[in-house]
Amino acid sequence: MTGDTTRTIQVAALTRVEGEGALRIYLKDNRVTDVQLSIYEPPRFFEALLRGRPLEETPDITARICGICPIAYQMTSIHALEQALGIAITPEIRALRRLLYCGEWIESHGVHMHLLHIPDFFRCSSSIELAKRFPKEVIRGLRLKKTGNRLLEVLGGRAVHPINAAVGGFYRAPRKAELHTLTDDLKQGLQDAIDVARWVSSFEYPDFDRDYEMVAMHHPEEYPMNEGRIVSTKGLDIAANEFEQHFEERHVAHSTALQCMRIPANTAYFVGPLARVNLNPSTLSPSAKQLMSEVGIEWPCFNPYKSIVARALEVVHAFEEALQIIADYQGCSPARVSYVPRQGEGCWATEAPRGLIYHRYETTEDGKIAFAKIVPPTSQNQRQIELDLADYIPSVLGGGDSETALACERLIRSYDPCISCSTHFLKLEINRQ
Amino acid sequence: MKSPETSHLGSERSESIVATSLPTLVVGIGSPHGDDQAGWEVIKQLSDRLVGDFTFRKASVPHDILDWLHSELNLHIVDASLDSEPGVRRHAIRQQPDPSVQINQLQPWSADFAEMTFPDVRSSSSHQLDLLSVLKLASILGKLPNQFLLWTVSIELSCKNDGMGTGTASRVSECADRIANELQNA
Repeated sequence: MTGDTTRTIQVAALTRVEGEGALRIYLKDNRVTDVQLSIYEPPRFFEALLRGRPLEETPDITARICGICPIAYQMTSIHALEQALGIAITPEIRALRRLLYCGEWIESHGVHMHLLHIPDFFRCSSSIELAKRFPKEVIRGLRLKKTGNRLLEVLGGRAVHPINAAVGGFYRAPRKAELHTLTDDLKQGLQDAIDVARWVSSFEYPDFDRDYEMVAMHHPEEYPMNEGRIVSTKGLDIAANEFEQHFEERHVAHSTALQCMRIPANTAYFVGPLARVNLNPSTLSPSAKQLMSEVGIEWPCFNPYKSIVARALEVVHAFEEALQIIADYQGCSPARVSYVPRQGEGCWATEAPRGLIYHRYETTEDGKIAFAKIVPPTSQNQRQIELDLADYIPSVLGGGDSETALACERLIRSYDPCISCSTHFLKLEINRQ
Repeated sequence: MKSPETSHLGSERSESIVATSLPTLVVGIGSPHGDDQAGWEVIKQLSDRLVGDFTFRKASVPHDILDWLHSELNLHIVDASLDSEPGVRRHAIRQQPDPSVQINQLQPWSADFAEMTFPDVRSSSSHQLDLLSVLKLASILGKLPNQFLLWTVSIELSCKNDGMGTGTASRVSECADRIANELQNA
């Protein structure tokens, strides 16, 4: 080839991800000059929408940010508002909240693994193609999703955008017998989840270990879901209310979603199940911990493709913890702690299925939202995905643009991005120069 | 109970594909936004009106349906559609006996089958799981009844944080009436 040649590869619409976005790759003489993960969904303005509304509406409104992980949004908002209002919840409410998280992790991870991500490992274009080759495994995956949804229905009032969680607790606490109806399905689910973890750990993974800063919550006594400090594989250890001193969201011209960076170094970082497992191996449930040592992966693991193994381990954990919470449950009264509205400020971080999520709110004396800030996991992973792609793309440029696009989508899907949360997925454009 | 061989003849009542011995599941697909509430509103009207061994469910995304499907069901699915002509359409659908025929080549079953073409394009919907994909997946997994009814309610707009338009509201009532009539007279 003579002279400079430029080329642009574009994936016009990423598929098998939650939402819609595009990917543009700029090449000069087959060298990557830029990678832009472009989220082109219109901004959704949830933070502005909340301002001036009664704080009680916040959990139900924030739940609408995502149909796959509504719990993480509503629960983070609830915790942050409780901090602003000085509310201390009971241990029973706290346990039920963890149970709700278990349901969401089971449902969300089950869907992502079986309908979105596993097809990639068998070069299947869709879950439909996967189902033709592995019907029993897909049915098993759908069973996980169904059990997660049942748990959400019983505890949250409905599976999608649950409505039972409230500032101070729950509008209605489940009866013991209601939760016990779930036990048989959860036991079956635990066995299914163990089989899934063994299955996914047998997949062939690309050799792509990276020097990530992985960030997750950490709690000394429990696997992080709704409480803890924010820690990283590079030594960060802060309280959630220090988040904005160490992380900053920024606008980038090519995306309607904000990108969150570590400050002051302006570096990218990685959130999600792999970060959680790496940073919290000791608090995984007994079966998950046992599997962790069985699956043939060296931990901590820095290969993004192996996130699916971490995801599978978390499903095992979620089933085991859910069973324990239900076995211990003796009712929850009061279902909700009362409070008096006041002017205040509160922030909180929890772990959505896709990673760390942070909310901050200011409330007015008459119980309205004066300010809201919501940092979803996908906006935190967005820059790291671009950097991964920039390093990965040269190894997949030989097969033509469509093959390159496919390879890029696979890498992106390993992050389980939820683009509707961060504003949806993927169009690929490769600009060659 | 009418046999499948004869039930496609005559009126909507007589061409019901419902097998009374099977449990009935009616699923409305929708969202809280504008005219897209159509599927949910049909379910609300039916559940307010009908008592009996019927299960009514609301789905936010098509893959919700996979939780509830199995092959032995009288299945009705209701969804909003963007049609060139306003109306309520009843698509009686059966899977092809030849497993090599994909469900996107669904054939007319009843005499008044409304022409319907599933787009054979790479879907860009969330999770690449639009209704057709979900039906295909269910079919491959043996979770789709051999025959079922898909009701489409044409809508005009779907504005976020908005109520349904009067035209859509009227068609929702018509759809609920027609489904109720089929369920009660099956």
